[in-house]
Amino acid sequence: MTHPTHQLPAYAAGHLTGAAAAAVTAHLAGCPACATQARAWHATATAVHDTTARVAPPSPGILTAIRRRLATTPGTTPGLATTRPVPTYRRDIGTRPLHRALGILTRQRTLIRWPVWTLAAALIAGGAILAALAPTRHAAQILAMTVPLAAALAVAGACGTDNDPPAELAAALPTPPRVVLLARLTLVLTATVTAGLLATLALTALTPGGGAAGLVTAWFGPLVPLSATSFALSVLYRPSAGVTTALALWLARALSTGQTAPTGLSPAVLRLVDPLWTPGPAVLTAAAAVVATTFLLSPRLPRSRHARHIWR
Amino acid sequence: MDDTDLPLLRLVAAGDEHAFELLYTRHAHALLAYAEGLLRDRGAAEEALQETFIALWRSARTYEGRSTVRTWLYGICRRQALKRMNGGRPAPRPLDEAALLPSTEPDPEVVTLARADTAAVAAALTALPAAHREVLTLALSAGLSHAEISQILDIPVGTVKSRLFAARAALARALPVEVEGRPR
Repeated sequence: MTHPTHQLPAYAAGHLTGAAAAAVTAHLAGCPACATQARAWHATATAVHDTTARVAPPSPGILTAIRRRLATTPGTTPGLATTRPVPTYRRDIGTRPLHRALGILTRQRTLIRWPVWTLAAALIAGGAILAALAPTRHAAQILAMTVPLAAALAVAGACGTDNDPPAELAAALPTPPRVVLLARLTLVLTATVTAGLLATLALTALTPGGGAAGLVTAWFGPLVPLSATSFALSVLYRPSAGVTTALALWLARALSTGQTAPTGLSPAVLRLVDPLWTPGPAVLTAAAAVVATTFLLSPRLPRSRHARHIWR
Repeated sequence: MDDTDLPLLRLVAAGDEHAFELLYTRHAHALLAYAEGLLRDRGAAEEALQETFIALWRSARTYEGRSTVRTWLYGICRRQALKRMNGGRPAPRPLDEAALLPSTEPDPEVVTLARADTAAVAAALTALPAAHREVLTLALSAGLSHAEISQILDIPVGTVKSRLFAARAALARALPVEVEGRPR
């Protein structure tokens, strides 16, 4: 026998009608257990009913107050209002901002795929070892060729959304996409810059004579424009574009400074990238502008392009 | 029920103040009782009621019909009441309650409740946690279906069912202990 357990509350409160109510009545006649349940629900419903009925009806003043407010507040024509009765997700927004920021950053660390971290760490470690083995005067140059490249590649890997299932997940969460992007950029740059600083400190401790400040300037300068370029292309187009461009800029610099075999390219062309490697205020400002523009544009990109990448 | 509410709401969307008043007359008392039950404060409950009907007037045209008009109103009223709740939202119910399966066989507490007099049950009702009183009010006084309550409280239908039974069990436990054989 199927007991109408879940219909009993509505039945006892008198909200069940027609055939449904008749079926329950018939069942109760032959089922003492359900009849007791129904009596318990009836006692509950009566008490709830009485309690509700004891609440005094709204005073006429309330309707008057509502009418007055609707008449005096602008934008209260039905349908013209901008307020929505169903609020968007706002439950925890605004409480403990530092805690939330830390939480978002921590999540990004696990969401960024491991090859990104491994590649950046390997490049920086390799650069530091090379710089330690090479003559002291080349140390700055070697670090300037490795740390910025590591940063640019890591930024492309972390901030681009090419074929990245975690990005799909992040897009479904209430954290705004800009915040996620900012968190990823912050995390990756903090990690690479910290690694670069550690490598520099280790280097200056091992090889006396080299100034740590000079070394840091040598690699931090190019890191800024190179990462900005990679970031913009990865976010606005696709990560492979960011990676390719960073590698191309790196190669041009390597060819123009290194004593390599002659290439078909004119040295003048190769020297065009030099301002990126010894950036002045203009280049740094432009890099900041590129990053800011990318942030502004990023949530407004057509989603279909992203979807195509993800389902490919 | 909703055959009457929906045309009224469409009229409100077109700016009909008389329809607005009719909707107010139909639901204001029940909504006020609901808000007062949540807030236990007449003034705050009246404020919540005002805001509910202001929201109704402003959003009538954007009503999407995903729930009945009444469920929609209860949902707005609940949000307005929670905004005014001292000490934030009602504490989430413990997890074991969600897993509570109502049994068919009545336990002794249910038998006690079935025999208890109305005044004692009403007194016990005031001692219940807000979430329990709320679900009982919505189901037994407002007469909303499990599906409608699930929309208002934003919880699964199964949780509505188990919470109803948990609320009744808590109510039975809150009754004064009955001495066997005492004349009633």
